[in-house]
Amino acid sequence: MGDLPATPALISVLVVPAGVVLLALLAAAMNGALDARAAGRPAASGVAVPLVETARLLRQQRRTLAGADSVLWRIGGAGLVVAALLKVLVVPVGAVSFADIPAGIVWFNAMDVLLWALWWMLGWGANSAYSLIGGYRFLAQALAYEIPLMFALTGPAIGAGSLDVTQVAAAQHDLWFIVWMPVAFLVYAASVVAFAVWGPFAAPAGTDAVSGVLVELSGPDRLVVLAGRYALLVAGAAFAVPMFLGGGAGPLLPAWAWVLVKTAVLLGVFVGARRLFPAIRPDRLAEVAWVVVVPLVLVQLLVIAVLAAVGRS
Amino acid sequence: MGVTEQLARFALRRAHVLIVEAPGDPMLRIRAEACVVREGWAIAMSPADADVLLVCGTADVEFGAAVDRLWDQMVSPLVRVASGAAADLPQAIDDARHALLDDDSQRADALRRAAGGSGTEPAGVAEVPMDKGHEGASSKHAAHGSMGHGATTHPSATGNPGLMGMDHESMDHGSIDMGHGHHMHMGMSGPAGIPLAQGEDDRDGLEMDALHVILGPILPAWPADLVLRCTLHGDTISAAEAEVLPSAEQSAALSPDERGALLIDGAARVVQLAGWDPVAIALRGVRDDLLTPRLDQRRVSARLQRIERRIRRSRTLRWSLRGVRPSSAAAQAAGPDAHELLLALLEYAVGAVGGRPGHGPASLPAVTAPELASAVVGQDLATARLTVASFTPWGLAGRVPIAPAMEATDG
Repeated sequence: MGDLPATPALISVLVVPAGVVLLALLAAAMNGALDARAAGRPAASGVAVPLVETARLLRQQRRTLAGADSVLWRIGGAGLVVAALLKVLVVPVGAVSFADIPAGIVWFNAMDVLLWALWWMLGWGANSAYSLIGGYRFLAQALAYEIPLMFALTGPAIGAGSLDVTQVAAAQHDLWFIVWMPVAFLVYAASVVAFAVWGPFAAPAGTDAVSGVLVELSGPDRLVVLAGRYALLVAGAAFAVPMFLGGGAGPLLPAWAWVLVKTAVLLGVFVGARRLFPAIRPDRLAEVAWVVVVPLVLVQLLVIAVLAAVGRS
Repeated sequence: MGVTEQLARFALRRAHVLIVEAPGDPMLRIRAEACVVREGWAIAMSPADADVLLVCGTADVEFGAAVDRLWDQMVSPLVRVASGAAADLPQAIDDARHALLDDDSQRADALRRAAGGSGTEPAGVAEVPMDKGHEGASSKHAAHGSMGHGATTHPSATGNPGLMGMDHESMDHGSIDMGHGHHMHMGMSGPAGIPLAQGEDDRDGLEMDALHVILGPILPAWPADLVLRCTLHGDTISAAEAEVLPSAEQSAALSPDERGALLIDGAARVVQLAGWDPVAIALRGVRDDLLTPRLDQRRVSARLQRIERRIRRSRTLRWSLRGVRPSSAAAQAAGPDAHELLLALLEYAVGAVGGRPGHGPASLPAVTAPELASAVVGQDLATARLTVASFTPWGLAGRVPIAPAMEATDG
């Protein structure tokens, strides 16, 4: 893959979706195994769960409720995977960069804002009270994580003096950004879990709202949403590699392999995070995010800015 | 045919079962959940998520009608089975498996249900405005061709925007509106003839949509005999009315293991509602093993104690459960909150399975249905669900005392 011919369009069309789907399946298989072990059954019995669920959902009918805004509802559902793929496009994998946008960081952030619309349309379009509550909850949650996430992404940009993801990765040949901007990394990681509506940030799909945004989904519609959540985790993990984890840097293996390995490891951490914490309620999250996290990230940015200015002069 | 059948067999390794508990026998529901999980199957959250509808216990007419409306919301492939006693459960699961594997009859059933939704003119007055929905559904159905992807809009299913067990007609044209009395929306039709939500002033004086949501009797992690008719502003409950459904007679006195299982089940519900699924799964795993006689109970007990320590140590859980209690003055004054009740349930569960003896509140605080209804007013949905789950985990009738001493007087 390192010496692929220069047909970036073809590569992005084939390789990016295939890679994201494979990693998403890996994440789902790991989650299935951990769930099986938690229930006291052999972990191996849960590994095939994502494939079985896919078969089950492909066999199941779709449904529409009266008064549902089906178009928006389905755009919201199918859009999650698309947003995830678009995020991965700006991640340089070894020498190959699928879409070398000069302001790749801004691109990632734009796709992130797209998720506000997508999750909300998914919640609103079903014409169901619980689904609507799920949509509200996502907006409350997004209000809490989006500003800290934007500031967190500013950190590597200041450190490298560029918005180009390839240059940000290259700027870490001495020291990975995760080492000297740990707060920004932690905020970024938490935000990824939050925009994927996963684990401690899964309140928009919580049991108390009968699975919220998921409540009315069946068949292929449900499949694309569940896949979209894992794909978003994959996208978040993949983008962290050039931003905080030194890109393709590493011994022995080629650069593209290191990108994959680092992505998979971080993905594992995200999936495992579901086990560590119960849901953080969106109403309480907002307070913590604005009173504690935003000032912390700003202090982190100040430190980065001073260090970067001193280092360059 | 070969491929279709293989797909069906593969998918059946993890069918999703919506378990409905008729009021009065939580143990049967617990055993049903154990049965489903042992099969490698999953417990469904909503009708859309389910392949199998498993009704546990005997339902009276009113509850049976709620189950019927739930059934109408499910999509193919689907099967409905019932079990009146724990001994029938394996047979019910087996029946469900065979019905789901029978591709031909599932296909025929799907076509029949689709035709029933688009062809037959509904008779009831309340159903007439649904016509638009039917047309939309049938054109979609034609566009997609073969079964599998036809949008299902059964007459009753169309009216229901996903409120489990209760349908839209009863919600918007029935007694609830009359009871609250501030709705004039009969003439104001929204999409598909469903009236649009009406605005009401929220606590801060801003106008919010008022949604009418009926919580229960069929809802995940909800006591089977309780129905709360709520008016929601966003996800905040602004008004609520409670109703207690009649329960069947409680079965014989519980064995210590059964009592332990019931306590763990109550704790698992609170943990699940707090959004900590992996730990709820672990608790239910222990609960189910406790009811499996041949397993080494000492190891089960050790596992339970590990989970209990984990729950006790979680600061996030304490943060989200602390102070969750009915908002009435009496409860506020001295009563335990959801976090203390969860820990008490777990302590007595540990005691019941042969660990150290429990301490803490010896029984759940007695609450009546009207008290619960007034307790949840002003709470958001998440808090209200936690309040109900921690104060009445298994329903209002036939309350289960959590301390062993109380059991002797009761059983």
